[in-house]
Amino acid sequence: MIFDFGQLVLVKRYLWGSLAVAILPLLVIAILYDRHSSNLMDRLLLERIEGDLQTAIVKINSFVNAQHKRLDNLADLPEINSVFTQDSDTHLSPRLLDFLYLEIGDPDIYGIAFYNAEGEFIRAFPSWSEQTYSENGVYGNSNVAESELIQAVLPQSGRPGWFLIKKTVIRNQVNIGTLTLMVRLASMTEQTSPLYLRGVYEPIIITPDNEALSVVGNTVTSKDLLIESENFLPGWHIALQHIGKINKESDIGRWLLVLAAISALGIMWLFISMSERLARMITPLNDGAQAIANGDLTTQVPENGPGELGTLAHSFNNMSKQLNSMIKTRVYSERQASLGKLATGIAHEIRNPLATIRTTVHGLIRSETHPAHKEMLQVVNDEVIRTDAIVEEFMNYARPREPHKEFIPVGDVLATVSTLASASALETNVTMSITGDTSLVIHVDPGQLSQVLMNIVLNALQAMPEGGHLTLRTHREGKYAHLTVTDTGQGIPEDQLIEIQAPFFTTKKNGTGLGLAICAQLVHVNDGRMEIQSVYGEGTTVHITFALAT
Amino acid sequence: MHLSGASKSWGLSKVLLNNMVNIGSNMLLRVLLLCSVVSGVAADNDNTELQASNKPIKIGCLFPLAGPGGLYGRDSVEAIRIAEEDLKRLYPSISQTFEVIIGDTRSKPLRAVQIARDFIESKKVDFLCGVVSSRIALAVTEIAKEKKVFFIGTDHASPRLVTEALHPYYFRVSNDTRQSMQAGAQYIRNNYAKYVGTNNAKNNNKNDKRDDRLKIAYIGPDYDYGYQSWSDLRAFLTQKAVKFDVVGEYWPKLFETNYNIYIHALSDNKPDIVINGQWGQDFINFIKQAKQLQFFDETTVMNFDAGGNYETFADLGDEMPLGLVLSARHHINWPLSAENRSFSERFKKRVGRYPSYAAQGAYSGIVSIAQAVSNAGGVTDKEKLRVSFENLSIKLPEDPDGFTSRMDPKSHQILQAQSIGKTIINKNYPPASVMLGDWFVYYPAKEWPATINP
Repeated sequence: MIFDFGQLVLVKRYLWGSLAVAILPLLVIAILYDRHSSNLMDRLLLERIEGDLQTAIVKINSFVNAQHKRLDNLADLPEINSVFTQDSDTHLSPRLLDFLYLEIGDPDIYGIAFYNAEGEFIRAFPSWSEQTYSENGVYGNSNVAESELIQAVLPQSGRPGWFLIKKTVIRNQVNIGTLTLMVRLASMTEQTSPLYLRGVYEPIIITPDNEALSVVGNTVTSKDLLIESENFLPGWHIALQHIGKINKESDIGRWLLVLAAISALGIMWLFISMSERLARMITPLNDGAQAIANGDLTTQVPENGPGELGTLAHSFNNMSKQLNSMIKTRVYSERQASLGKLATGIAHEIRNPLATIRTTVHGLIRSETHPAHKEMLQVVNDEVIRTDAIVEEFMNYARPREPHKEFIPVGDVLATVSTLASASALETNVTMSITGDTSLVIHVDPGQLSQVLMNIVLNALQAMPEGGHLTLRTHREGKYAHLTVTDTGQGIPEDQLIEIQAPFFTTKKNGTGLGLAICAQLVHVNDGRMEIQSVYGEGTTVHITFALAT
Repeated sequence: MHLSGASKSWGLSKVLLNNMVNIGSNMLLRVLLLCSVVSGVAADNDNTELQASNKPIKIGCLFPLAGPGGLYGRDSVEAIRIAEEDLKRLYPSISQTFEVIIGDTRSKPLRAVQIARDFIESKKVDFLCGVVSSRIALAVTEIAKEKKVFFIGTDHASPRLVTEALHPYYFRVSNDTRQSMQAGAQYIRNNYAKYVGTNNAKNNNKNDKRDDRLKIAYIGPDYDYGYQSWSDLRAFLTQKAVKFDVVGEYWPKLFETNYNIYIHALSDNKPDIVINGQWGQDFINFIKQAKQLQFFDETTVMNFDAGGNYETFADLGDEMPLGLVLSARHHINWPLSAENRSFSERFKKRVGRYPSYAAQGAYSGIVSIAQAVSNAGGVTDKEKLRVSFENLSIKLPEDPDGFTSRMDPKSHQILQAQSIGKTIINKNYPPASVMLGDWFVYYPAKEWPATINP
């Protein structure tokens, strides 16, 4: 596993280290940036909101002051004096009517009402509005003359809200009555519209009765207030209430942080994937090295890794091959040297006594008259001769003579071998045939080649005791002459095929196990190659390849 | 057209148009339209005044010719010209000339009051007529009442003119909002049947599940017209056993230009339907801004009084949303009667475009005055003239075949059919690409609904 530091610990630590170096600073920077930007945005937002709040307060004050001036102008009209002394049925003077119509022509003004010095309602303008507004008890308020506060009437079902401002009319230092102006409430609340940010926060105006008015002049429930202003009129102030998240800018910062975290996770995933892949690519190298250490010099690793890993795998395989080849060569050389020493010892320690024994036995045979004794001595002599032949064969293998190469047609050697073996073939009911291009010329020692082929042919004949067919074939393969000896004998089991060319390996009762080993050695000293292919139960083919003479 | 009295022939002598005449303090702009009609034949015995006097019958019309609502005034003036062409043919018994004076109110009460006063005191008009805004009409009717001069309302629609502010000299010759809202309530009842309960006091039981009740929000101009419309609609919905909840009420100023905060507030209410009580450029601006905010994807907007004005469709063209439920006091594509087609085409031939609904109202005002004068035998006997107005029955371009507009003698409110349609693609009346269709027609009861009983 990637978190397991037991295997390939260096690779994983390296990758994890790189990961930490890549991600930790990113996270630290992201967190610091988020905090910084969040604080900055909060501060800027707060400053902006406070600025907008002040602007809204100024605008509301300006709006209310304009209504006061409107009221002052009306109160200053001389024509207005008579209104406070007339009953409501008396026609107003045209000049006063003009002023009143001018004022109610402004959509901010719903109506104008008149009260006498005692605070009793006299009339309203326009007259049809009297009933509508008196339903709310505003005109009937006997305390209106004493009240200096703005009185608000909140929106009701089917009617918008308004607020009342009043002006006491003084003539000659005498209070002759009160003039009131009914002003559209939404015209005041709409002054806060720059503070409205849909889905985030909205301004509300809090009345002295703690009623909350939305930007469009409707009553709302105040909750989750963000900031409150100072009073812009006694008891009246503006507040901002959350209707969503506090600020979207901070949200964006958090989203960026989330994105950074996601990208960090992405980098982690990438590193983990790379680490696992690297581990997958290094593991065969490790296993291969372990196999070589255990003596398996044929181990090869996949070379499909990218870049340096592929090169490393290729070098590893080359190393494995060269090591195998070197060790084989070394073993062969040492074995040959050992065999040479052994052969020298045998020649000295065995063949000399055998020569003495043989001379002595010859003498004894000549001097022996008793037939039975003579026959026994003859058997001893034969065994001595056979032992000497074995020693001779071993010495040939251990210390082969240098080849005396000649340019010869392959066909000549094949013909000689065929002639020599024909008698034996006839005995075992084997038919022999020579096929292919027998004119191919090769540069070999003809004696050694004949020895090799004869040995192989005799082995083939022995493999076909019930008869069969033996084919000697020669053909060209590029720059090489290819000789094959194919029999239809019993074939060689697969487990024996690997060892068949090893010295002293034999399946014959009286064999020395040196025949094919000597053949391979003689082919080798003549710069050729020999391979044996066999299908058990069907037959065997021996392939010998030499370079064509140029 | 329906003719009353004897059939006589008329001849038009001349039409004079004087522009920009100062009145009083140079604040008043006036268009003088003089319709001089010469009698050609003898008259009935009952119409001795009509035959004997050559004193012109003066009509002082008040319309905004510039500023907000100016299109309504300009269309009204053109329609008055068309009416003037028709008078000679329709009312041959009247030998006197008609002199129609136009005063530009610029949608301001003070200007309207001054003009009305000048019309009465200086110009000695026999009739006041016109007025687009109910706010101004309420001021003008006070003058008419005081001076005992007939005021024939042609375009404003607040029911207050025919209730608290009613006087013997006021008559209105176009449907008011109460009639529009009555038709609208019926439309809602027919199209939202699942919210209709049994007709008893439990219909608006607030204990009903919220999903069982129609969620309605309202936005209308902040003056009497808006209040009355909304009040009447709610009363009619209750009367018609529609179970509904009011989820929001909004009152932007008349001639407001920025409706974004109102649209956001409406959107937050999540209403099933939004009743819009705006008219003219206000409604056009609302549609433009609401469309930008995808408001029409959220809810169904209905405007039963003035939203279906051709002006809206001509202004918005391809931008006009589909599926809105609208009405107006006159439609150029309903009814498809010969009279209505003729009126619209004559107007288009004269002006180069189709008329807004105000034009047909002004036309109705002039021909109604003529018919009342014809029936009363002159303008001298105001009592006779009042009775004549009270019994007015007149075929107008907006009347469908088989129906004739008639005056309700109690309320002095004319009774006309109200048709409501949905906005659909219709390119037969360019530059509009969308017009009303899929019509629902509501015919008036015998009397104007002075009270709305649940």
